[in-house]
Amino acid sequence: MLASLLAAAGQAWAQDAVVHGKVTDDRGDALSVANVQLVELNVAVLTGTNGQYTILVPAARVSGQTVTMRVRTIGHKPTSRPIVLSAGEQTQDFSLVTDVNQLEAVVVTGVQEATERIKVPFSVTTIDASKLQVPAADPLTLLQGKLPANIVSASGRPGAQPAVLLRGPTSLNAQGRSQDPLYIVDGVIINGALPDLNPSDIESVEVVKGAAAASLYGARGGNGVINITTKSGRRAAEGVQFSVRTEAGLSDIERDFGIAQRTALLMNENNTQFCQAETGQPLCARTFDYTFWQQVINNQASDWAGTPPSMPIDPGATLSGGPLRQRFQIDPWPGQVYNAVRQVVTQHPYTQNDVDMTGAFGGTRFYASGSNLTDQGAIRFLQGLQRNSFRANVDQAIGSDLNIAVRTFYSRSSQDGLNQEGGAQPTPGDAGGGAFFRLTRAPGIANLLQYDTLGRLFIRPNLQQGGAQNYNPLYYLANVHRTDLTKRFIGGVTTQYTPASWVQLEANFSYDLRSTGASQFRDKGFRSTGPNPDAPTNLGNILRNSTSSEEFNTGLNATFRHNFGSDFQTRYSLRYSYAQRDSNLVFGQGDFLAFRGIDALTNVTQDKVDSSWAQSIRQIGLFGGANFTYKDRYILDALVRRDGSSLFGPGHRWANFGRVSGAWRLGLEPWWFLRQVTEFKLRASYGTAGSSPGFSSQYETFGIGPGGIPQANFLGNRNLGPEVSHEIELGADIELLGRFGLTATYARSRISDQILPVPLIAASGYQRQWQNAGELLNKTWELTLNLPFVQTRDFSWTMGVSYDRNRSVITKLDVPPYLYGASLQATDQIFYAQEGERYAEFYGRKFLTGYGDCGLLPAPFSADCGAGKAFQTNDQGFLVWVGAGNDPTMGITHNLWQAQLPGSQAPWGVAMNWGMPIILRGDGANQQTAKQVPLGNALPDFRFAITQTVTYKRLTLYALLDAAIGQSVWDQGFHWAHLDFLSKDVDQTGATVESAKPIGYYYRAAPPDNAAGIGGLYDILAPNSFSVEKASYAKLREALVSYHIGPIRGVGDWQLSIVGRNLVTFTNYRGFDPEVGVASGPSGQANSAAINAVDAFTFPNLRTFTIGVSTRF
Amino acid sequence: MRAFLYALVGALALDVGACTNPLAVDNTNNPDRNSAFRTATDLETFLGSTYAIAHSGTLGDAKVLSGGANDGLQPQLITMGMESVSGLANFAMGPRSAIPRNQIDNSINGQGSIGNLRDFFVEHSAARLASLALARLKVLGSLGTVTRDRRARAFGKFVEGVGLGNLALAYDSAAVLTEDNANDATVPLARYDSVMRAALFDLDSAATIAGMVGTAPDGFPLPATWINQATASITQAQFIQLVHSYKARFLAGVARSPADRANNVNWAQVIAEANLGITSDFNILMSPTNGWDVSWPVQHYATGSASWHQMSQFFMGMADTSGGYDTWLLLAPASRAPFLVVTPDKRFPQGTNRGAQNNDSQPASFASTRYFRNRPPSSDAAGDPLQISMYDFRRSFGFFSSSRNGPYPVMTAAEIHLLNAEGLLRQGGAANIDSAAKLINISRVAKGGLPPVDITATDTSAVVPGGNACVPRVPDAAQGYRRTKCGNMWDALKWEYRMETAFTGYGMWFFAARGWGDLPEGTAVSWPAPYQELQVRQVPIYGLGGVGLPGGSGRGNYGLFAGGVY
Repeated sequence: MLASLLAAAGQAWAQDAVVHGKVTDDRGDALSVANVQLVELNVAVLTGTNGQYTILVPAARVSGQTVTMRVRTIGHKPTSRPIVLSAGEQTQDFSLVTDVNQLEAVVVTGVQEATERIKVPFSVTTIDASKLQVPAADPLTLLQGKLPANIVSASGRPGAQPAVLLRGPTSLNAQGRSQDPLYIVDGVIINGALPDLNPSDIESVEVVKGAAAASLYGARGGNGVINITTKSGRRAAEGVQFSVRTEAGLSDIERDFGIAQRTALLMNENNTQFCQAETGQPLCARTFDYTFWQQVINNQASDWAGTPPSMPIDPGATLSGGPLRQRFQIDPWPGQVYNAVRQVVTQHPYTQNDVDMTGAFGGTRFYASGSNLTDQGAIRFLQGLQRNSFRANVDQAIGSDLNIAVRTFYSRSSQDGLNQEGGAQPTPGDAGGGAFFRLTRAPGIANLLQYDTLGRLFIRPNLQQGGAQNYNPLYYLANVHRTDLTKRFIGGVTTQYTPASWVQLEANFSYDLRSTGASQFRDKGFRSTGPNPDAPTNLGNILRNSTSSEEFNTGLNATFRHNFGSDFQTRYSLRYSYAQRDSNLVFGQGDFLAFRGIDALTNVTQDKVDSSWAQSIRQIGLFGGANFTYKDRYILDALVRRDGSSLFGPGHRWANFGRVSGAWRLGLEPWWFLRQVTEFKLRASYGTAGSSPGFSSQYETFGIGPGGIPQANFLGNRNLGPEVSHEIELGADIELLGRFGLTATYARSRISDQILPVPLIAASGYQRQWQNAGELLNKTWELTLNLPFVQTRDFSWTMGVSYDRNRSVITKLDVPPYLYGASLQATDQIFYAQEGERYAEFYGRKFLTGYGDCGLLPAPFSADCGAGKAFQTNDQGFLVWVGAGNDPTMGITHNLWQAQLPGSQAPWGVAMNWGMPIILRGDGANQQTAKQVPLGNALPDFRFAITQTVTYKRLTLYALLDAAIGQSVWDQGFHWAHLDFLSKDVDQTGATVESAKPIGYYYRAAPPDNAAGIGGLYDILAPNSFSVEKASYAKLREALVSYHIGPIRGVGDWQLSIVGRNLVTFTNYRGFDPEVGVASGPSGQANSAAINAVDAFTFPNLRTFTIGVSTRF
Repeated sequence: MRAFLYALVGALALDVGACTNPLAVDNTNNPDRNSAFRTATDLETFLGSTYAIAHSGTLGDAKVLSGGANDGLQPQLITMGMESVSGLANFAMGPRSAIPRNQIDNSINGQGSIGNLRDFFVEHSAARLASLALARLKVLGSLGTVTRDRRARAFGKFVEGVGLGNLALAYDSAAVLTEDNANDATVPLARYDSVMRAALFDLDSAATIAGMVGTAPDGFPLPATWINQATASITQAQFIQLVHSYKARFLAGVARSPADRANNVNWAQVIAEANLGITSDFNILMSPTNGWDVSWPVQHYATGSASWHQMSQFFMGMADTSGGYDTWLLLAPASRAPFLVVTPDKRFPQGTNRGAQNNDSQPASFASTRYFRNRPPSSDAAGDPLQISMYDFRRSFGFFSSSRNGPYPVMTAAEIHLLNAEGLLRQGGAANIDSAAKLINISRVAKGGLPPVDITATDTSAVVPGGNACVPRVPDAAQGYRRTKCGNMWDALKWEYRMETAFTGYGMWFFAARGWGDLPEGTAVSWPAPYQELQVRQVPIYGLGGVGLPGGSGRGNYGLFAGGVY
């Protein structure tokens, strides 16, 4: 092309004007694909790969006039200069300063049309591909630590998507809805989840967080917006360029859970044989060999395990009585001891291969890619996630005024289902294998990898009574075959027509289809733990689940511009949009297979369950807006939007939203005196956006239960409207020395009309009705720093910092105070909602701790509390009863552990055991009732992330440290493992006679009344002050060492990299992973794993090491 | 430009195509009231499903309300009545069965609060949905024929009565729901005895109307799905018997104390109702996938261990003729351990050592003996020494093993004729005692293989036969409850009642025991209205029960109090 231009130039050289030159960056490197424009003539060209450009202006348009040359390219500040355009050749070279703070970058999210970020009067975070140096399996994981927001990878299960709270929770009850932001990909409003996308296709991500910015999206924008733009050929040079990248490595799990390695079971004197319970006989009249009996009961041909001998004092059961205060867990298991975690967790491969093609031919520009991802996780017998995806993006210019952009994407992924996580008590049809639950219940003597003579894993290596339910976690994983298959197609067409410089018209249409199918098979012959057959388990189960969801979006936009002189620019926008989402589900399952090995629903003979469900959601949006810019430094923006939605009740079908915002660029004022401050923009915005009710909330219907029996649980509400977020956002964008960037934002968001299930009196027949009945207040501080300390040709060092702090408080509640949470066992009532309460505040029972709690004892006991008194603190800080003249170290030496304080002499009238933690009581009318007190908040006090990028010549070092500080987690796994004395702290290894504690200290140590909570840290299933713990952490989330090799034998542009993900976690948390939560499921109320901070046997995040090689040519 | 126009036209066409009120979307997943009641057939189908809800409110889960299986009062009732023993915190079994008894504090998020709300709501919902259907029937005028109308009305009144009756049994207060207040959601809470009066009135109506219903095709037998049966086999006579049986159960069971049961129950009416009641067990064909369930076996047999349930040594011991029960009673409470019950009662495993009892045959169905098993020692579970045993209830194991599919008795003939017998004993007189003895002996002899109680006794203090091998033996007050004596006629009645009704209906041992005075001291005799209900009604939350506290039972017979047997 250049040759032809030069040839043409040669013929007309004498009359035409030829401007050529080179565009470089501030290091002197050539900039390709920079846009060089003669503004007044509306002539533009792109630089070539060497940064060179040539503009030929026909003689007819050359008159010696002065025109403006403007040069711009992504990642650099634009520049312009006047030139005199005269016949003949002239050279104009340009050097563009790197726009390290992206102030000049164009943003498209939340604004009426593409706008330079510095002119946007509200906060928009932009993350381009250069900041996404470490590839991830899904786009949201890629964003962690890159912006101030609460993005929590609550589960490490391959294919799991992080939970996102951009500015705190917005819904008190998101049951059947979501706290997640609206996701948009290339203008396509995404139908639910993002994990099918290939992150390597991402060119940039824009994030608007609150209603002040997201008003443009009306009833769908209340939780903010994440807008992803994929790569395209828009800025491609003529020709085709290929890129190939391959990455391979291993995944494992960084931390251990900490399972007890000692036992409290009774053994003989040599600690080699276990005592066997014999009716009417002394405790150890007969002994047995544990490993022998493991063989005996497991190595049977039957589908169920045999009966192990009983043990007289068996901590695997619900133990009570004297042993709780007599036994100390100090004995090593005889023979070999196994680490259950290391038997379940194993290294698995992680590979990702990407190939893409970018190019341009005339007016046609394109990007196409293919990707293959294998993320097998780190659990033995599981295959994790496999995903193949393809993308084709085409931009077609037709003449100078019409552009058509086509985006298509298809992916197919298979995932090994939910076999590793899930409830503690999986039922035959339950997908949750509960492997991590049972993992916390495996005693050290249990070899989870032992096979019987028929080649079957031992089903019950744990002989203890609890072993009947805590069977081998690996058995389920090895013998229940579950695959979830997802197919996704996303396509969109956008047409832009610019008939005149003052008007632009745009029409778009997009389509998103997501279908999933789950297939689960448990064959006949599946073993149960005996000692009797368990037909529903032994005779197999088959499950099928199929969903399909498709969304159409259409939109028509018109933007008009008018400038009043050169200083005052105005824009006006009109928009109409229509969206429709149709979803359906078909489900079937059953037990008792007729034939072995046949994986079809026709093979089930009993417990058949089938169901189906369908819904359609339709939304119409009407929008008008105006934007005014005066002298580039006074910016005013306003819009109104009217949304109609089928999700609103018929009595409230339409809702209005809007925004007014303004910015003042003080740094451009003539009087600005701080020359070191090269940009100083203040901005303020007020806007409203909404969150829609769930599909069924408006309908005054009966549910249909099994057998067609009507259910009247939820009464719909025909007047139900959206939750409305009213947000004020104030902020400043500052740049120092043209280099150091600071963005600070304060947002105050009041989310009114909370959609809540308001209880009804039982006489109504219905339990609850959905009503707009509450208000939430979010206050958020956000700060980002971009600190490019050194920027030289050979060496650069840049540090990035992000910080955010959110407080979410319930300010109005038109329903009685209530408890809420997730939907797993014992997690549904963990937070307390009342006016004035922080959102996600754990409530539960409290152990008195420290002398500061003496005052919480009722009189006169409170006066007998302190050093040397009857109530003292022990070495763990718990306040305990020791009696006058004693201290907490005397339990063994003075034989005090079995001493009891009768209820008649004890606080609240509840008997106490010597040395045991004391539950705070005195709730309500009954003094003996344990008090429910706040235990900590599930949301962090603040979060921060630090990135460091250092380059030296061809070498790049990059690291991201991501931290969440001050949040509490209910460590349910650690808590509940105390039931079987299998949490590590029950082991008394290393304890002295002064500090050792009996097993009842950790479980319960009830006197004859057997009341829960009378000593014992396990207490009850629900949260308490021992099990809800601070779980601050900092993670080395990403690390990269890369070396730019360049061409090899003149071919390609090679790069070698070593990548690490989740390498190190700095924390005092006792569980696997402090970054944890429960994704609620359909009936969970908070409905976000970023809120439900419960470590409920969840798959910890994976640590991954890989080596990657890439090239382009 | 052309492409743009095409896109524009296409988009507009799509929108216009959707413009027939595009925002009005039907919910095709669930029926609203109009569609549920649209036709006579629909209304009848709706009404016919309401007994399933009432049943579900007591025994069945079948997902009538969010929450896991067993999130109802039944697990609490059976542990409080010592019908089952579990120290687990799950489903509040442990806290409710703790000795000494605690208060049901009704605190927000208190243990058992989910179950407390569940039954309260579901039983109200059953009564309300039945009343809504009956009100609709009034508006509709007729389902087509008089017979059909009467059948529907009889069934609707029956469900109203059962729902309200179950509420009055368990709770201290509830709302009285009728078709006349069908659209009034502000019905006040009434005391349990008022609620029970309304329930009995509804049941009277049901029996009366049912008596006027003809036979097929519009009359009886009832459609099979209304009270799930394999075939449409519940005849008019059987339905009326069932109504009278419920009346007998409710009349006797509503009493909160021994004095209440003795003085305020109309025993003549109980006898009359029982005489009109069922003569064979009332079984429902359970099918969880079709909404008919008995949920407690889900957990009771979940693990094979006895942590979740076992029979109470205190009551099982009454069958022992080896002296083991006496020895056990003599021990200090904390030193007691499960002992072998050697008994002639054939409902127990036979044998003089544990191995022999372990090997005794296990029942294949509910109808056969043994009722209990002596479990393998490895499945023993620790717990409160007064309550734990080496015995498990086994009649329902086959039912559990078939995923809770199959017939299950929710009311036994024994329950009804033993209520009859109790009425006769309370009325006294040789003839009545003679009749009562015959009723007691039905199961005592046929099921237990025990010698019949004396049918010539002239007062209820006559001891059961058998000498030292008598069954039951009961803790003797004269010996500080630390030794036993042969029980009398009353004890024999209660023994049969416990043996024959265990795990059959709703809180069978509990509701009887509170009227007999057999609950451990301080056991709550009623559940308070759930705190959630009180919050909505904006009235103070209160708790019930606990030793010496309001709503708690007095000292229990057989020494069930501190200083007695514990």
